[in-house]
Amino acid sequence: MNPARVDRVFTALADRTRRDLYRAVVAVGPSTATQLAAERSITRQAVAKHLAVLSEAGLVHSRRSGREVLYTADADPLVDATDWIDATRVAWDRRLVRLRDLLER
Amino acid sequence: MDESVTTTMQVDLDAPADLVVAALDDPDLLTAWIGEWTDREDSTSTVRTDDGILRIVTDRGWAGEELRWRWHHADDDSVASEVAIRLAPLEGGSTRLIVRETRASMGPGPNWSGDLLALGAVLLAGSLVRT
Repeated sequence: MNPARVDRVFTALADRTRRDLYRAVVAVGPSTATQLAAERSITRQAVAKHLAVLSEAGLVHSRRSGREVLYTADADPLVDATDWIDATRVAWDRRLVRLRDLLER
Repeated sequence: MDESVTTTMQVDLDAPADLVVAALDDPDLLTAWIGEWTDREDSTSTVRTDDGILRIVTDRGWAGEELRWRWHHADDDSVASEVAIRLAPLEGGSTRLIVRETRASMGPGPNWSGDLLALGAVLLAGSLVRT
């Protein structure tokens, strides 16, 4: 688990609009900022800024196609993020079992 | 608005609240269930959890029925989170313990870890990269 990468993913997805955009790119496939803005009440420039944050976290990748920039979703960075959540839960499960054993013996 | 990533766990213990409080405050008892716990003179603590990681515990204190602290890896303070343990006495002398751990960098706000896990599950179950 790469802590810096996990932080970038959490920071990128801590914003509701970015989660919405990420979901949209996942669901629809390669999308442009213009297409994503057209379906929302935000400007193309704002969408582009959000996509840049998602891109820094590795959650989307961009490539030029003619005059457009297409954004494609990547799930790989989510693995580290969900691993943190899973590992934290498993660790507390173990601790709470030991606490129960300690208090109820 | 930034929102938090929080994991929440809950357990009902067949023990009175004062005994549970002792298990949360006494270094020897903490060692028995969290990991090798040492209080330091500067009001911080260290704990080596069973994953072998040494963590530095800071800002530890009770706020009403809730014990809170922050902890980070001793060798990497960027890996930080906040722990909140709330006690709730139950009928019959038992005590409910609710543990929340939040990535410290996120700050307060609605929890979306379930959202993230669901999204991750959907993505990871299918093709990882859509082209």
